[in-house]
Amino acid sequence: MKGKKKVYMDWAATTPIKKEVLSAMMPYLTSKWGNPSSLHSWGWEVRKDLEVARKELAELVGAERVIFTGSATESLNLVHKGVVESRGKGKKKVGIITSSIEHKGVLATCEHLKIRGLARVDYLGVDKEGKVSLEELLRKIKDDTGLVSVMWVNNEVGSVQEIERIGKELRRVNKEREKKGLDRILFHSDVTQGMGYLEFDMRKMGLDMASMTGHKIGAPKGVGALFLGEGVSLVRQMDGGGQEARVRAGTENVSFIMGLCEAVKIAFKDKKKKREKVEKVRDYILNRLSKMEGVVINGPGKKGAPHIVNCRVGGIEGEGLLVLMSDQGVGVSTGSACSSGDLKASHVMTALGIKAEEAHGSIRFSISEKTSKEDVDYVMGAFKKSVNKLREIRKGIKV
Amino acid sequence: MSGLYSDKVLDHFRNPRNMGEMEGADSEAQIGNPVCGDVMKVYLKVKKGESWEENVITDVKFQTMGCVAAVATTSMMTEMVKGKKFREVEKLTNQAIAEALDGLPPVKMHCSNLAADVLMKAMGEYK
Ligand code: FES
Repeated sequence: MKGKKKVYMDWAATTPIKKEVLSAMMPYLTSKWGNPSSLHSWGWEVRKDLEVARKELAELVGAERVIFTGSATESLNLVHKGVVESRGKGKKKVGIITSSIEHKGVLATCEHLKIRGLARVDYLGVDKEGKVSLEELLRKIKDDTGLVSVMWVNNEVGSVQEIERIGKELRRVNKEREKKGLDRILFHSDVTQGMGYLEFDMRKMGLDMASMTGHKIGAPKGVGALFLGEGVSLVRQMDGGGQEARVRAGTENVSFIMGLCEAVKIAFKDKKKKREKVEKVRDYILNRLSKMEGVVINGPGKKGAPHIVNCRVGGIEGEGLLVLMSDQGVGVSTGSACSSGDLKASHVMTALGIKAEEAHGSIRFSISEKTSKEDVDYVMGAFKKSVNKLREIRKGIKV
Repeated sequence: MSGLYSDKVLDHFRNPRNMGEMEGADSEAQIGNPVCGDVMKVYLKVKKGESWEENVITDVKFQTMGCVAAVATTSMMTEMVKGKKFREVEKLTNQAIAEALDGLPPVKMHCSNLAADVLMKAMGEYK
C-alpha cells in the first residue's frame, strides 16, 4: 500500500541531517573520541582535525576566527553581552542599534542588557517589505554607539537587508570616529537564514561578527557558530576552561562541529544554481497564492529570500489551519497569537504594520532545493481545503 | 501546539458538533475574546418554561472564528447543554467544559471562558 503523502514546507524551522554531514560526523562519534584538550595521541588527532576544519570554515566565510557554540541563540547572546561587557567595562552604557524584526535571541538579550543598565538600545523600524532604512540607522548613531546588529534574512517573512551597504557606510562612519577619538562601531548580523542560498563573505559585507546555527542547513541541532573579524574582543559568557580561544569554555562538541563545517561546505557548493532552482519554486508558490481568494502576501514576496513565502488569509486563525494541514501530511508554520504561548501576534508581523487580527491568519511556507512543483500543488490543495473548512466553521460571524 | 491537545479536543476541532447557523433561533449571542481576538457565536432554540429557570434548550448551534481550543470548547459546550433546563445550564463553568475535553493547556483556558460566556449571554437575552 502506498503511504499517505507528506510534504514538509517548514525548512526555515529546521532541516534533516544530510547524509554527507552524518558521514563527516561519524568518526568523532566512534573511533576518534578523544578530548581535543588532552595532551596525548587520542587528544591530538582530534585537535588536529578540529583546527583544520575551523580554518577551512573561516576561509570559506571570510572570517578571521570561528568560535563554535551550542546554537545561534548562544552566539547571539555571546555577541551582544560580550561586546557590551568588553566596551562598557561595567562603567558606562553601550549604545546598541538593532532592528525590530530580529530573532528573539537578539531582542531578549538586548532587553536583558537594557534592564540591567548596561546598554542603551535603539530599534529600527521596517517598511512593508520588512526592510530597515540605512538613513534611519545612520541618524540613530550616537557617540556611545558600540554595536550595530541587523539580521541578514528574516526568518518569518524572508526580507533581505542590504548588509554590504550598511557595512560600507559604517566603515566610513568609523573613519570619522577615529579622528574624533571615538570607539569603533562593531557590525554584527544574524546570518542564519541566509547561509543556504545567498552569497556570503564577511569581509566583503563589512561584518565584524556573524552568528549562525547548523540545523537550518543540514547539520544537527545543538551546534552553532560565531564568525569574528579582525580586532574584535568579547568578554566570554560561558566561564570555565580555555577552549575556543578562551571565548567559550566547555569541551568541544567535536562531532557536531564537524557536521556544521561539512554542512556549510555543501551549502556553499553551487549556491547560485541551487538558489535559482529554489527561486523558481518560490515564484510558483507566489503565483498560486495570488490566485486564491482572500490571500495577501506578507513581506517582500519575490524580492525576498529564495526559500521563504509568508501570506495571510482573512478571517482565519493559523493554529487551526496548521492542525488541518498537518492532518493532510503538510508541515508549515504560523505567526498567529493563538499559537504563540504568550498570546501575542508575532513581533515581525507587528513591525511590518500587520494588525493582530490579520496576523491571526498568517502562514509561512519555507522550502528547499528538494521541494518540487508537485509538492507545491499538493500543499496548495491541502491549504485550500483547510481554509474552506475553517471558513465553514466561522461562516455567520461578522466582525 | 496540537501535540499539547488531548485527543478529545482534536476530535471536537476536526469534527465540530452542532456547528453552523440556525434559522429562526429564539436567541443568539456573539462575543469576542479580548486576549487574542477570536469570536464565537451561539444560537438557541428554547421551549418556554414557567419561569426563566425552567426554560429548556431544545437545540443549540455555534460558529467560531478562533484557535483549536476555541472551536473544541464551543463544540463540547453545545453537547453539554442540549436538552437541559436553564437552571442546570446556569451552573456550567469553563472548568467543567475543559474537564469534559480531558483538559486544556493552561495558556488555552481562556478560550473555554469564551464558550461559557457566550452561552450565558444568549440565555440572558432570551425573553
Ligand atoms: S481563542 Fe485564541 S488562543 Fe484560543
